[in-house]
Amino acid sequence: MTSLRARWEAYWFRPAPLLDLAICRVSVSAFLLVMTVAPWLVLTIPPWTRHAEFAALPDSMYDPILLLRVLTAPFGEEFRPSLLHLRIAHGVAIAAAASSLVGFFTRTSLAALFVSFSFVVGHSHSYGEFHHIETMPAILVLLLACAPSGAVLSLDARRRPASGRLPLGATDAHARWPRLVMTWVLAMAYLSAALSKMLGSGVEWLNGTTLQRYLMVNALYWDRPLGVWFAERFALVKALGWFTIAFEVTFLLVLFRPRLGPLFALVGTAFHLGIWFTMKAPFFAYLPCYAVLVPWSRWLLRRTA
Amino acid sequence: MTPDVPGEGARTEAAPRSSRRAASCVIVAVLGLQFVTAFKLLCPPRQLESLARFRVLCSPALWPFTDYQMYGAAYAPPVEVTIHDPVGVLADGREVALTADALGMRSDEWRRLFVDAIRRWRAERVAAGVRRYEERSGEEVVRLRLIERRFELGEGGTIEAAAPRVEREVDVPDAGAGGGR
Repeated sequence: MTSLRARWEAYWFRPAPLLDLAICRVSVSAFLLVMTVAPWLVLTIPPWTRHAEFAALPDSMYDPILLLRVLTAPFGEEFRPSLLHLRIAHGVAIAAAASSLVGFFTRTSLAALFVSFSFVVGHSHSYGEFHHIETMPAILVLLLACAPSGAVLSLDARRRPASGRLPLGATDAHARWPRLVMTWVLAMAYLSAALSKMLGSGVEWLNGTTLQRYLMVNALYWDRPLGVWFAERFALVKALGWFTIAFEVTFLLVLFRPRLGPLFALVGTAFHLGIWFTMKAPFFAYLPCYAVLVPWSRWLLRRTA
Repeated sequence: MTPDVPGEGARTEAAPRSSRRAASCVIVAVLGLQFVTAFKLLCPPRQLESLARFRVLCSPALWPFTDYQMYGAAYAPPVEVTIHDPVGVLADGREVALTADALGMRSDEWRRLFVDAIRRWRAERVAAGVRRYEERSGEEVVRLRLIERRFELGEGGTIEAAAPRVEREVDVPDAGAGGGR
């Protein structure tokens, strides 16, 4: 039992650089600031621009997700957010993203960002339609709010008296687990995507025609000439189908070989940018979360040492 | 994820047991929720009727924890793709392509608000789309034609599966027209 606990502690709570955690915070906060201020830059059908549309839908269509029920529980079971509530939550999300970015009352800001972001996105997912775009940054913000993500590289750190300030290379027992948990979450998400294809359709999914159809239909709908170009090259599309499954299945290798993290971050970035340019599916929100895969402090501090 | 940081090696005070316990709860909760939703443990497929009673929490019920069932269906060759091209007939008999660019719309908006409106005959939307074209081009459209083109996708790339056909041909509705023709 003791040994199990020791292994648990060694795995999750081994001291790790606070700078790595702080860069994850900067990365996801900056992205969410862009997403909330200029959503059309990173989303195709952003909920952030459709508050009035959702608020105008009839009550009979409103079926709130669990998190929204929890957040609105103090206002009674029948409570349904109005346009004003959604606009206020949107404003809070912008302010919280900005203050998380600069690290001002960092953990409170991150918690406020998680709540307001979940309120708005969760509301948009309470009418029978949902997208996977915003899940990853929401989970990362939640994890960062529970950890010392503002201990360095933040206004909070600067506000401390000089004697109490931590150097950039400082480590902490709570600096490792949020990044590790996020890596697990990403790995499970990609494995889930691969399994849904393989269990639902089997190897037929890799026949080339499947991806060819997805590419062509989306490329025509969203006017993506590059998608049409790819869809017309069968051998290339077939190879891309195999690559997709290989990427999604092998992503979990980063859990056992952390040195592969930057490589998977690079390949994943290319993967999602490729999907954007060919099918206009905006999975940009995954990219700031790849910050958890990169050993920033090892790279940056070695350079400045 | 490596703790070996070159340079400054300062460490904050050791984390107290209570904070590690709290963090452990967060770790277990997040990973547990992600595991249950990602692998659909509480949302077995509808086809498995014997497991219907376990179908209690399907995405997005536990958002932000969800499954990632995307683009999962497979398609056997040949796959057919149908495209609809709206064409406007001008008063002098010339034909013009009423593309997204010509109407100044985004491609998805154009398909949803204009092409689909012609197919399902939402006269007001059709009239609004034509008016956009007329304002931008200074040309008057008197008649609309929706051309359907079918393609087959396969190893040889994209092949036209059938000759283009006119799916719908109508006079341009009045601006205040109602739906349902």
